[in-house]
Amino acid sequence: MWADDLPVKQQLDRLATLLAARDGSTADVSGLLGPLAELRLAAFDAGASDEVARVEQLMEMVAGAADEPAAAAAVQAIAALLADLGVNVVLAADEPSAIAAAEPEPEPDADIETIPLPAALEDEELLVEFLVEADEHLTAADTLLLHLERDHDDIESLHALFRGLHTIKGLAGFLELEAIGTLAHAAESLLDAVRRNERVLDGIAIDAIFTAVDKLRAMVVAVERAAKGKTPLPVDRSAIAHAEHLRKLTALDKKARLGEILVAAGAVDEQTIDASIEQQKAGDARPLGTLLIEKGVAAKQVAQGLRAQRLAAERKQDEPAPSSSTTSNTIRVPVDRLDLLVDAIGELAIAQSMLSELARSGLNARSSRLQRTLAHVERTTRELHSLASSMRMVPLRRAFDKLARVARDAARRTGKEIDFCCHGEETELDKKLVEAIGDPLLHIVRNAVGHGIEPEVEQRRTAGKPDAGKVTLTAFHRGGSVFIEVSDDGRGLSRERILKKARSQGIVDENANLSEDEIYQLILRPGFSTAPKVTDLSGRGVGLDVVKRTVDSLGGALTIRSTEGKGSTFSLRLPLTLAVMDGMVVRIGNQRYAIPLLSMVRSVRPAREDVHQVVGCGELVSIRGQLVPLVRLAQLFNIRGAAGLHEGFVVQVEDDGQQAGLLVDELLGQQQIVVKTLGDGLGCIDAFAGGAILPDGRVGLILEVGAIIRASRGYRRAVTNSNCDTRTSELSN
Amino acid sequence: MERQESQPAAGGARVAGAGKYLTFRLGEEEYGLEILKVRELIGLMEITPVPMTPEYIRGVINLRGKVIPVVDLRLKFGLQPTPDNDRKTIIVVDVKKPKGLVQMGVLVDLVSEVAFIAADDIEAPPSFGDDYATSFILGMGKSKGVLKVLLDIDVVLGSSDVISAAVHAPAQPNANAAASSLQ
Repeated sequence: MWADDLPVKQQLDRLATLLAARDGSTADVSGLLGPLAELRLAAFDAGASDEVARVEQLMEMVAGAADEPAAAAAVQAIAALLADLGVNVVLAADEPSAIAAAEPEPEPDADIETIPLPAALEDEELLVEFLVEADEHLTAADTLLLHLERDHDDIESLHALFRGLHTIKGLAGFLELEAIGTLAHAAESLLDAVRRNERVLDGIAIDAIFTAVDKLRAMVVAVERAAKGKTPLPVDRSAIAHAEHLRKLTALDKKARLGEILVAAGAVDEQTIDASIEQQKAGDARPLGTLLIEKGVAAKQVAQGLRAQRLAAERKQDEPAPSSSTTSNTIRVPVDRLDLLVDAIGELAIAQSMLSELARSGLNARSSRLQRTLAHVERTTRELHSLASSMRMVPLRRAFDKLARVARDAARRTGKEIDFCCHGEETELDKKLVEAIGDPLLHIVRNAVGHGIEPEVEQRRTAGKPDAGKVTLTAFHRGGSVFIEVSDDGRGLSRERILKKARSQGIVDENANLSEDEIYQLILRPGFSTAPKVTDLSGRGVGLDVVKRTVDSLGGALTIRSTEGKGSTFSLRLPLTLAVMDGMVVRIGNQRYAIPLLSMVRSVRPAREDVHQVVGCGELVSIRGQLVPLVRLAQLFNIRGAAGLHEGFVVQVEDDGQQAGLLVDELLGQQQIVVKTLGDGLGCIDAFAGGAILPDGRVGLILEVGAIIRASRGYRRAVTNSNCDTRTSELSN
Repeated sequence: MERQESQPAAGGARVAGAGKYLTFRLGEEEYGLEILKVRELIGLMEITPVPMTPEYIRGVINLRGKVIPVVDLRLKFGLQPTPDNDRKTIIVVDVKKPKGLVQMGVLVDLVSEVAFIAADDIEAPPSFGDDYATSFILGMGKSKGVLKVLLDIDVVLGSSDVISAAVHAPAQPNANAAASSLQ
């Protein structure tokens, strides 16, 4: 029997171990794929075609297992296969782990009562659809409301907002989420009244809908949490109260009259209107608008009011059906499944390059048909790889939409008038990056509104600026990077104030001469704030340092440009995707390393007379008349079998203005490398920036040029040793 | 089904609880790892050495696109290195580090089996006096008449005791002494 073959037996045992080790409460069974694939190969080799088919089926189950029940089913099926083949396996109990139960109970809130989880929520597909759709519509709602706030006649936005709330209401109905349904319905009714021209969309109504959207969002989050933890569903009573408030607003003033429109817009007070109406009743035949202009109301505003009234009347006639029939040709895919795909394609690429390697060295090396086919496979694999990577790219639009809302709220709280606009929201960025920069951008935008824009309108007027402070968010591609910039036309940064503060805090020496950029970088330090008083929005000295740290950790950079009195720009430079860089792969002995191309100056073949021994400095190599320390990497890394000085190459590298020449055996070529962290398992290692997966699937280490240059200064050996010691102590911590 | 997490003892160090252990060999000795810590087993593959790290760190491997370090448990415990062979296996484990769970590979001579060890068959870690820290041992388990050293992998891969034993005194390592004197 094929299952008695040794390789098959090994795979079966491995599977049994994995199954026994599986934590019953997780949906992650991807680890089983590898052994299954090998089992399939083993079965294939043994000619057991039935088993091949069966294992393939199992692989599909495992690959498609997106949730717990599916994962458990796959595990059961694998166990059944193992049992049929005579391998006993004991499955871990499929009970939720004890940790989940130990979570602290949330604080009881007077406004919150809990109800049992509606049964409909157990339909996972429906629930996920609801969560995704609700999130999408609520995010869009913020933007639409901002549009409506700026332009009350923006009918498109009004309809879109109505449709979004309508969808949420419908889905909530399916899932028996009464509170969400009620609130969405109330907000929808108010908008409907506006659409049917029974009500004016004034500031009060917009604020009420903003609040409704916030409350809906909170409730959706609560639903997600409750459904995940299978806990009772909290119901926010204040949401019901708000729905009642919305209903009252809807019932209010059914007809839009010019006077009301103008009062709502703040163009005129009610007394003036009343006086004018009295005048009309007393026999004045002229229209209300004319009378109001006579009374000193700006003609422009009256005209606007009349336009609003006319538009409202027109709206009545062409009433569109509240349909959500906007079909889109997109499919939603969970990110982790996409990641699995990218990983699988990565493995395919590795297998493919190994295959090519084999074919080149094997007996069939001369078969041009084989070579052609392999070249085809290689091309297709590469295409697949870039396709899969591009699927992770998302436009910045959603992030920008959220920031528009943040700017509005910040403006409200500070009582400033802000004109916020975005450019380049279609710029695409890796999804993970978009998520990671959300908070940093939020800080910067709040800063621009809270600190950047002058607190008093008079200050702006004296400076000859418009009343409304302008905050602009711009995104664009340049080179291999994406830039996101937040500009304001406010006060700008005061270099003197920053310097004075830095000196008083002892960060900067009294006599130090700092460049403009160096001064601006000071405000990115932890605990540094020039704001004279702490406000709710900003000025606590936290924020910008966090922003800088986040951006640094993403491999980007944060720069500040500013002109005092004119405004400031915070510019974020980010890599296109996470951690991809151009590197030169070099060989030393039988090891390969990658040197970041950005740090490379040039590479030369050294001549004997180029290398000088200098007492106290070690070896120096002269490259184009420039003397730089020579680092024999083979010696530093203790690699045996490396070539001598004259068979090798010297790669001149630079970091932070310091240079060194790195001696390597061979330059293998330049390529795009994906930087993988070496992981927390190793602690932090100075000399390496990370690992790169090379085309043959092995890991090549990426040199951290800065650390190696520092190690080359002065006593090289001692530095190496002390590095080893710090490594040890880091590991032991 | 019995499945108990090891409980923290009064002294802070954990002691072994009844449950399943993945057992493996290093030299002549049998060791056990809590099965819940084990993610997967992989055959010995080419390992990229990381210069300027202690000898027991064999290097890093590409585990389906993820780079994880591999610790040679032989060297970590101060045993003599042996040439690589097909029976050697990398056990991928989840190790608790201050920053959270970290995946690491542990290279062992041979993976034996998954054994259920009952509470009655587990003894407290032996004490060798103050000079020899045994906090990396959860307990001594007996299965099919063979004594197995049940390891606390979090301590093994994180503790300074074991590391200093391997780095500074490879000739007389604690772990080795502890393990062999129990036989």
